[in-house]
Amino acid sequence: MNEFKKYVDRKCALRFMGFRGEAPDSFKIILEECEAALCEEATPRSVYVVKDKEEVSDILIGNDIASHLSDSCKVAVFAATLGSRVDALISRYQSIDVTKALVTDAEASAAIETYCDEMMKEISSRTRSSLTSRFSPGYGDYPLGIQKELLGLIDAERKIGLTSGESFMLAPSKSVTAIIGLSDGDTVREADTCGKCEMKDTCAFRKEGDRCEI
Amino acid sequence: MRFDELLKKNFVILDGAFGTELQKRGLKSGALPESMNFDSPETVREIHSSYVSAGSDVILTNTFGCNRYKMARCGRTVDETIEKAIDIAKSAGAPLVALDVGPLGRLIEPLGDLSFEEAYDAFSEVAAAGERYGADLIVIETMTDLYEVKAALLAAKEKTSLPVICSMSFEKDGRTFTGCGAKEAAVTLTSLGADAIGVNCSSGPEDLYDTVMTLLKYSGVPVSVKPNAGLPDPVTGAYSLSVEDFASSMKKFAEAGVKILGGCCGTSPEYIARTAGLVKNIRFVPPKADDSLILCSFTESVDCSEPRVIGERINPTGKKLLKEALRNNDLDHILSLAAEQTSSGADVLDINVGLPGIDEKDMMVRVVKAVQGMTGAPVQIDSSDPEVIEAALRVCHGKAIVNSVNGTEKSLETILPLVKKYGAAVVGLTLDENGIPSDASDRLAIAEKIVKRAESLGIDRRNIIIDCLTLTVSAEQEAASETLSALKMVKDALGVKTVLGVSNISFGLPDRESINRTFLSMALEDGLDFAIINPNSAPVMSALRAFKVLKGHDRGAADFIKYYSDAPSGTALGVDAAPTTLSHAIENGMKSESERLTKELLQSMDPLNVINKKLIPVLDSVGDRFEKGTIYLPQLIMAADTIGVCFSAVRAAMSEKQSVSAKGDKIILATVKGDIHDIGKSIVKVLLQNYGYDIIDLGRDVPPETVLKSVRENDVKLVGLSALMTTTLGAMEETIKLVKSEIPDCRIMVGGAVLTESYAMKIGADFYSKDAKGAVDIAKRVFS
Repeated sequence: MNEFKKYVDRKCALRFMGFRGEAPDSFKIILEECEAALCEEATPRSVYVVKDKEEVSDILIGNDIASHLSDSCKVAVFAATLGSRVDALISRYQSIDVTKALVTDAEASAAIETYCDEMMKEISSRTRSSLTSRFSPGYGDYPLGIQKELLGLIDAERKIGLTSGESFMLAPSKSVTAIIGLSDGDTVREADTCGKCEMKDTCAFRKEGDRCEI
Repeated sequence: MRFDELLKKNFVILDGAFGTELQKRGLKSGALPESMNFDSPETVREIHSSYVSAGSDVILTNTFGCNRYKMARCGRTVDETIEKAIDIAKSAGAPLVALDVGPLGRLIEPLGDLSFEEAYDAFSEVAAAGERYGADLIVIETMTDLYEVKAALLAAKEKTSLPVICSMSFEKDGRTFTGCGAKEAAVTLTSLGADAIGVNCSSGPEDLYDTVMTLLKYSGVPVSVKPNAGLPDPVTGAYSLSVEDFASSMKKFAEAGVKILGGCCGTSPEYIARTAGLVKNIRFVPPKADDSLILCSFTESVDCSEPRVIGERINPTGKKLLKEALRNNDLDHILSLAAEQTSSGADVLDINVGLPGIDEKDMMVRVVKAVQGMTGAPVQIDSSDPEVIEAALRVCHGKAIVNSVNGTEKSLETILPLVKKYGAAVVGLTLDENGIPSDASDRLAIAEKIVKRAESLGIDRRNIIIDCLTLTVSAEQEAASETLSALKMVKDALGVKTVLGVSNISFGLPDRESINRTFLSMALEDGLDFAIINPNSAPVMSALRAFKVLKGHDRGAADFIKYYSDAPSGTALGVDAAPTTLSHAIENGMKSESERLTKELLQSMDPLNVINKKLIPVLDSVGDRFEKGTIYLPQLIMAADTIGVCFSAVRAAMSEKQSVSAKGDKIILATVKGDIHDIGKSIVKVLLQNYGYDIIDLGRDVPPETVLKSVRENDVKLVGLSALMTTTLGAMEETIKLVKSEIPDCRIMVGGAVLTESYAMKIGADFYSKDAKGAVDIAKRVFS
């Protein structure tokens, strides 16, 4: 097991898989196997640049991102990915063992979030700022269509190998792009990411009065 | 001056960063640098001139992002941008102007949504324009996907006569973002005819030492190094490495045998001038390149200096399930054969999809793409049709073997030029117009003829693998020793690699494995390099592994001990211990136990009864509990996936005449155009298959026309579409409209994370399914 292990969040992954509560013991072996494989294949990378809000106004479109950043003069334009080998692993499993594909997919979705949280700690200490939560294209009225410009601004293709296809889907798929507001004060503004999520009408967690923890 | 003349110089100096220099002069980050060719040609010229003054022999045009996908953003055509950029670069007075070609900005399948062929077309447009407007060479750079480099290199070689440098961006660990290793890149690109191979961008030069050494060892052509000035600071944007530190690292590369030197992000004319100054007094000494045969995929290479196993299982001859899979386009079955063979120890996978009624070329391309997306093993393309071979070589992601050429004039004429062009290795069969000579010396004569002809075309001898042909010993007992004599003679006289299809030896005899493994041991002793065998045969594999210990290939018997001291688990969960019931085994994902119990039932029950009376009830019970919420999706899928193994056992037990599907009802599944995430569809597929439906899986990113075509050709009553993104719901609607307008009575069910029932109805679907179980219920209604 390598250093990626610390980003594995089994509890969150189980929720993504549809489990409510603990997984049965008989399921633990497959969880461990998929986590080990994920750790083997993940090549987490991130990139960010810190800019004055005005400098990047071209890519800050819509009311929701504006209100998210209302207390910030500076922003970090941020992207992170677990790398294409994780996609290859999941797709390999899809052909030979769909259960493992499902489990690894959920484990990877959970791990990219933990990884982003860790990277934000670094941004915070490097810039000595408090940060807002991550606000990603697709949240609220912040258009998914901004993906290419956002990636271009931080040279994400060259720096971390992250690209976006015709329908603005990120490739590799276990990736995050986001705008993070920076401010001097101690206040941290939590976005209402759940209420603004594009999945809010169909989300299985919301229906149960819960949330996905992203 | 030409590039080959320039290479006679002690060292060739390229230029340094372009984007960094443009930003210093006011280009906004994120803006398209290529637009500066029109908006501010003077600025572009000035940067070029500053590099010429710094000592650059080659200037790269400001066309890094100039391709049809990226240029769509700025309203300029690829053609006019390249014309303008070359014009500016030429006016800066550089000895040579190179057309700079960067990545397309989209990942190629299976990692992304761009097909290899689309990438090739986009690069063809760029390369042709480069030659048309007077570039002296082409530099393909900052690539992270070897497949994309291959598309670009093929385009450059086929559309122009210019020399090409291929440069990729490797990380500290010696791999690119997509996992491509430096060794694999060097082997593949050298074989494909790149004129120089290199590394650029990445991080600073100090992190690239091992990568550069690997390139020097395996390239066999000049190596180019163009690193960044360290890493940029995320807040200030400044790069970490000073001019002096950069240049002294570059000097070390020059001393190690790197011929072509330059800089990437964060460097400036100063960095280049200092580098040029430091290497001026060094004498270039060409590095010693490895001259052995290496086969590879983009992630793994197989060093062929010891005996290697070529897995023979992907070949429909005599295999009922594979024939069926090929006819039904069921790539998953083929992929499971690939996975099974590599985990049993196959080093290379033979791929043969020749079957009457199948479009062999189309199927070969699909299978090669799928297999190389699945395993790291290099492939052996097994066909006698040159068109099929060429199509497979084009999409092959690494260095492959072509199986095969033979001594007939027709074969030599058509196959060998392909082997040369695509840089493959080739199996040469010792037969000709008169058939297989019975005498060993006559087989040697044919081998000599093949080697001679290959060498006359410029194919290196290390790429030739001679097959002295195994005949069936039960038909002709002397033939076995004749084959071995021929093998020995070929080895001694020609010094080429050798291969044999081992299993042929034992046809018609009992206990075939004993014959196979003994023949294999004899052949290995006589110099066999490649054994085409079934790697799932434990006795045969153990003979080979033992041979490697006894011959000293397996140092310290490390592999042997590793393989035979570990108890093989062989199951998804590794919990197949205590005896159990079939339903318990299935529900707990115990694959081998479930398979064993199914086979036991088949001893006393009719196959159809096993399905209807044993398997389906388990499936129904698991489905019920899922609906009641006492088990969750992963458990449902685990049971469904395990029951799939039982179905395979049942199908294998059915006679050729018995219908394989219980019902014969066909369902098409597809993830819509633009959507490349299809795990949900795979889950639905597994469950529907369990209920006996024939699934035609069209895959992901499927255009509406493809769905319609398949509905028509297969006379399908139910289509299932999935979409993950809000941005691809449009494609879903379009697909529904097209199918409904042409074939109104075809029913369509839809599903996917962003869909709701009301939205599904709004876009014209007949059914909305919230999960995989729902899809089964819909199918039952439609086909009732």
